[in-house]
Amino acid sequence: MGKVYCNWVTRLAALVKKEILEEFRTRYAINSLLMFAVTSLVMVSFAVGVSTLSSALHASLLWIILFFASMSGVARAFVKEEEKNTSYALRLAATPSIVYLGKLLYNFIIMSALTLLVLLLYLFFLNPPLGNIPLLLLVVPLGVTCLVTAGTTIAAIVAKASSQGTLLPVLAFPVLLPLFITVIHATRITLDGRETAEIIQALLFLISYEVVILTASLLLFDYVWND
Amino acid sequence: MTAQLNCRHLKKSYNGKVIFQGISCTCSAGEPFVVTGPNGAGKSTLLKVICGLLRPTAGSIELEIDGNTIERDQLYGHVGYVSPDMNMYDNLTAYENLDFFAAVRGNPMEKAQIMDILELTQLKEASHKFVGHYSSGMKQRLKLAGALLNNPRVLILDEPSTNLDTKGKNLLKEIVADRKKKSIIIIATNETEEVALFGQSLLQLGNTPGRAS
Repeated sequence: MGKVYCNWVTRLAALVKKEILEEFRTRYAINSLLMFAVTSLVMVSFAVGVSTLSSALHASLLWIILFFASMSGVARAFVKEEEKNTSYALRLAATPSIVYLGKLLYNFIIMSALTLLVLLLYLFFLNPPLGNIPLLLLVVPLGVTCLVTAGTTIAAIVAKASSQGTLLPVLAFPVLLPLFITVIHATRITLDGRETAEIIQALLFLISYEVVILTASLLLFDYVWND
Repeated sequence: MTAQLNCRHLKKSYNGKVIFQGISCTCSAGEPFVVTGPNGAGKSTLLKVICGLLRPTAGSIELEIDGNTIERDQLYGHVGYVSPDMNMYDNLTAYENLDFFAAVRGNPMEKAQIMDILELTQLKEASHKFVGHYSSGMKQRLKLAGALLNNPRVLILDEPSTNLDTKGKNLLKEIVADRKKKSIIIIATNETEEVALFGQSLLQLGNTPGRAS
């Protein structure tokens, strides 16, 4: 059992290492994520000027920036394999679960770094109220984890289609809508500094969402990847 | 050490258009199996179906290794595949590519083992160059190196001499001669010389799409 687990971890680590190595050599995802995050934040800060935004607006702006930044980077995970004709070699070498989890982990690493940067820049440019920082540091990573899991699965489906550009928002919208309604609501409450009890339901929803999306993705990925 | 691949009544169609149908064959180690036929006859599609990259519309494929039956969805790690439709990673070196594919299969290899395969395919000197900087012939030899990783029991070669010069073609002949006793080798080619050289068993896909002749 231990040997099987070690073997599985080695295979997963090999895929994540390959993704990171490729990314650091091309810097495609990092550059597009950074460019989008920085330009959108600067534009928003100029648009807002000196006026004070409500916590609801701050929460919405933060998640809009994170959503579009993630879509420009996460979506590349599978598209690049199809575009460069490397998917056949990968399909013959790795099991679908390794491919999915490897890409998911890589996207999570990239998005975590981006989220940290966006949060710092957001604080610097827009100075939002920080009512309950520990709770904010729970809600944002949880929301980003859900966003990355759903985004990776949608990216895998979209990679097989010929009209990837239009299909991505069409597929992402219904899947991500409940996530955004909940995470924006939870972020607003944490910025207002309200009690933890007020977002317990939102936190439970986010955990359930992650479990459902991850389970469904692992079960269905074989069909998406191989057909 | 026996290996046998049985294909029964294979059929593949896309959107109602039949690519091939009624293909039954048995391929064994020791007898390279050559698939030939005109362009569009479905040679590459048949090879993709056999190695598990495409699902057949009908029929079954069964691999038997040393008396153990391996189903289609368990073919990972048993198949080495070379195809014009398949590329290695341009942003990795040849060594990194092979190291990655061995590790992700669950059989990580020592540096010396990988260098041996690169030497065999005459890529040792260029092992630390990015694949994106390789010539098309070198890329083809790297695909061959990738197919030989972990000593696969099934070697599927789709137009393997594409982009190879005389030296490369000789290398291909040596590899096939060396591997044919241990592995099932299936080659799709239209090169008359290769058909004569490798084709101990031959499947001719017909002029009329959708029929094996």
